[in-house]
Amino acid sequence: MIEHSINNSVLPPLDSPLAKRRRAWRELKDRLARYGVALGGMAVIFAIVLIFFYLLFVVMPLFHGADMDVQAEYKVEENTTHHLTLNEYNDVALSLNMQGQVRFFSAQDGHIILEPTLPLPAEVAISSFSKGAPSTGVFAYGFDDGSALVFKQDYKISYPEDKRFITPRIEYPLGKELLVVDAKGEALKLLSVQSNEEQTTLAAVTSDNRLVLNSIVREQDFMDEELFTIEQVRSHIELPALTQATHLKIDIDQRELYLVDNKGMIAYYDISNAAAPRLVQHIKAVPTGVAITTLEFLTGGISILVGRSDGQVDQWFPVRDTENNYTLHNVRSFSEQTAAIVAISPEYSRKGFVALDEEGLVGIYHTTAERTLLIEPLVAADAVIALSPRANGLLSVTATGQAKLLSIENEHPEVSWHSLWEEVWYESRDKPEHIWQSSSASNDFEPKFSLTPLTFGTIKAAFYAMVVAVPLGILGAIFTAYFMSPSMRKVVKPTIEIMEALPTVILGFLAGLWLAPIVEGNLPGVFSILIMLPVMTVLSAWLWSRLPSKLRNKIPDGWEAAILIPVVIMVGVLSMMISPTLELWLFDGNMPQWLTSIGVDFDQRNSLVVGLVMGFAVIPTIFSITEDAIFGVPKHLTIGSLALGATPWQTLTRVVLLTASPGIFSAVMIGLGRAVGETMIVLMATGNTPIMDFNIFEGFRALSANIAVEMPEAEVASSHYRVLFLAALVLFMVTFIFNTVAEVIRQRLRTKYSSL
Amino acid sequence: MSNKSFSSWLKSGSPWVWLNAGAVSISLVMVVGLLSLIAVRGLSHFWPADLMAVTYTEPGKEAVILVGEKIDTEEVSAQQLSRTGVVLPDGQASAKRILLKVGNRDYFGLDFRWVNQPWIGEITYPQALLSIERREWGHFYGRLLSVKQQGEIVVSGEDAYQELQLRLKRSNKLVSEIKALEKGEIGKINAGLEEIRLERRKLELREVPKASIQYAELIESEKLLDVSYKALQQNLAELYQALNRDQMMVVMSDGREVEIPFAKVVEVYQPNAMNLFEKFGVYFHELWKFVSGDPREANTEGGVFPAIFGTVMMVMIHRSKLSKE
Repeated sequence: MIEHSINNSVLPPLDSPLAKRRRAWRELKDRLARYGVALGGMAVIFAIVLIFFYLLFVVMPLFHGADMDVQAEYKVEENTTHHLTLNEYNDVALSLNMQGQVRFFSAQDGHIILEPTLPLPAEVAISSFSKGAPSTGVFAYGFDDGSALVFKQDYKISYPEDKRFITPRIEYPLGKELLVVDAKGEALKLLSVQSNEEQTTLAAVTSDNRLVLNSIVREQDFMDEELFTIEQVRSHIELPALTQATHLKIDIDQRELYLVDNKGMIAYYDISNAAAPRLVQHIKAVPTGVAITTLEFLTGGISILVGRSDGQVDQWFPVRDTENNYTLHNVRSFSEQTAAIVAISPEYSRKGFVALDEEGLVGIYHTTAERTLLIEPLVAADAVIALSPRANGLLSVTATGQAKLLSIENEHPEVSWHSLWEEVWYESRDKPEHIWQSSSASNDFEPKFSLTPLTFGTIKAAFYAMVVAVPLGILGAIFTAYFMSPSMRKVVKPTIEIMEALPTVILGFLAGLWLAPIVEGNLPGVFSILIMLPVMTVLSAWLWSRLPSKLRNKIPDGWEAAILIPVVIMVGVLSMMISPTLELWLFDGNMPQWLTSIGVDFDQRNSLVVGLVMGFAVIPTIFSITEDAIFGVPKHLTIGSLALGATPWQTLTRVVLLTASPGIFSAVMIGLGRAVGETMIVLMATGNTPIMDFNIFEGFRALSANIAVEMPEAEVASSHYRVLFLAALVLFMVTFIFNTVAEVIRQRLRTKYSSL
Repeated sequence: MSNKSFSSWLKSGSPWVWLNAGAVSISLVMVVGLLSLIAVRGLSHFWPADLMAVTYTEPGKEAVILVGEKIDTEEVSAQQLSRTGVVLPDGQASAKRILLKVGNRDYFGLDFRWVNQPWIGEITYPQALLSIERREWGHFYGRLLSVKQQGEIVVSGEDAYQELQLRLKRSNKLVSEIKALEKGEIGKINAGLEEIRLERRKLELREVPKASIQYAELIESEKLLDVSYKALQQNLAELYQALNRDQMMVVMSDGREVEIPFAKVVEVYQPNAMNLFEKFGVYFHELWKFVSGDPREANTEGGVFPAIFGTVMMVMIHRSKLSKE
């Protein structure tokens, strides 16, 4: 026997240069590895944190309020401005007064650009003024002989020497002659005008308390653009004798008329048939003691904004009930201002408005989001205000000619916690709802950014996917890890893990185009598969156990899965074959129709299809992690339990599963995270309808699919764009929280059961 | 053992084990089934199917001969057929129908047609039927009458098919030459012109006076490129002229005679006259064309090579498993 000691071992002596070099080399490798691994780990964490902060950076501007600053202050020639408008570029303003003086001046410094004279006859005096919807730029003066003049502002833009030059002018869409509004020739106390390419409507309350309505159609001469003829339809609306009308407004589509009187009553008329207007509703809009001080239409012509003497602004619009009757509802109120509202200026393309009150406070509001963005005392109380078409400027001119141009920064007023997550009463709907409808073809559309239907869709997808994936994955993994023979396991494990490598776009494509029609055509067959598979499995198991042992022993233990493959295939084929018969026998020949008739809506692309396919996609994730966890349970626990007389199943449930529970839990959590983030399958197989319904036969729209569909079309840096990023942030946070909680619980379970 | 009662068998926990085994079986069947479905549906697409000539007599109409590939068969109920205006003969609750790809989209309007079993007369598989894959308007099915050159008939009858294949090889070679010329040489000239345009823009932005020497240099380079382009244009015109030399006269199933220029044809073969070995040859040839060719007709025909290239490039850039979403 050779004695081994440090002196005759094969290693060089401890202090020799060779040994020192080797030690130094080893230390270097060690240090490199340590720093390399640390660097890699930190880089991963850094990348994730960077993504999170970038998402946050894009989303933050959504919750920023509005800013208003004074851009220019100057003096204009006094002429008691009655109405003011500002043009698109905030550089030319129009001022109109009750003497018929029209003035275009520069909004930046007040110098006069043009002062056109209107063709006003000398004998008559102006008794009223009206402006049409701001986007049309139409105005009308009413005279004390019952006639009116309709005119329009127009801006011509040219670029001499590459600099923008604006030429303002006044146009007369119905000609320069006065139109007779009241046949009796009484003075027009209140006037309202709306005009578009096809039609003009003028409504007026005369000095003897009558309401007259005129609908004018302009027929352009075929040959000569200058010539046209006018067709006028006049009708008369009765007013209650005691009413003293204070405000009169027609909507932009010229189908509705609102009349407000001094008792706070609103009369709502349907004037779509100009020859026969009818009263729809007469309602008291304000409590006693409060008067209505202003009335304006919100852009789109559906809602009216009622400004009150107590500083509150109410939004009303007609709501349809089950019998198709329309009634006005006060949908929301803004009560942050306390002094009487003097003027309301609606935004041209969004559902927001600016309100000026008697104390000189200017409030910027948004109706859909129920947001008060700003209240600041920047304007004199008796000023006339004009909001810029792009809602980025406000011009105010006082009676003494003091003018102020304010710049407004109000990028995303339509988004608030309320509009994102709570039920909102959108225009023309009959009750508050959660709706996701981010865009439409028209300009004055009310964007509906509720993330609730999308989140619900994601949760629904994950739920149905887990219902399919968890049993198959976990039970399959249990069998593969614990009961299956090693030779079969060598084949089965890789096969199931191939499922993971399949790109999910293929699964989505097959789900939407192949599986959905088959499920729709053979619905009873699908359900019979789901019911018969477990039943037939147990039945064939029992039959197998009754077979004579000679036959049974031919196939070794652990090959039960192989024995069941023909059973599964047979159940599938038979169920599909008897599906038409079942359908005829139980469901009158058509199960989807039968379902619809009992009140359960049926869509071809529904959650059943998605559940099956997404379950298929998630199974390998759950399977591999669970299988590794169960396989990794120390053998001595199993052997000990079996030795003490427990059956294999008892050993599994009471010893192995408990020990492997951290792994199983982690597998389910990771599978859930995968199901939540899945995009292609939900994009192709769900129909993408953002509805909130737990019906398994209806589709849904998931957050991930929504981002994939809408992001390429969203305007960069718009509210829509940022809300999509917010959806991405929500998904990110949900997955992050899930995985963190899963990891924490897994650690706890591991320490608890590692002592076994 | 065989006298074990059901309840004691239940208590032993065995059913649960078998249910677990069932879960594995279901997963296995799903995986293998899915992969086979994709393989069968996908790979069977390239097999050159036999062309059938069907004599179809719908009630109240004259008998027509339809020529095409059988794509699908279906069993439909009398109720479903009646909704399309088709009434089955008495007593029949359902009927089979065949989806026939009749091709000739530019003459028939539709590529595919359903023919209902009760009214199908004779089905034959004439050997002389041709399947012509065209560059536009999809497939053409018909019989070859003659091969023409510059409008004059060169060969007709039995030997026309061999002559057709020879001339087809020639025209396909010309097509690839034209493509190489257009994409390669003329493409280079275009790239050069674009660079000159950008240089000119750079000078404009730097506000260099128009009369200076840099502009003159650019104009010189443009002139040179123009000269080379004219020469290439001449070559191209010659190639096109050579390509448009040959035409083929074919007759369709309804008797109409049509002239198809060779420039518009990709492949021609006679599926009914091929034996198994030849069919395998065509199959792999089509498969190779699919994987290596460029797409045509808004990605509905041709190959998917650009997509494969892009996918492989993405994998190499990411150096990891393809993203799961």
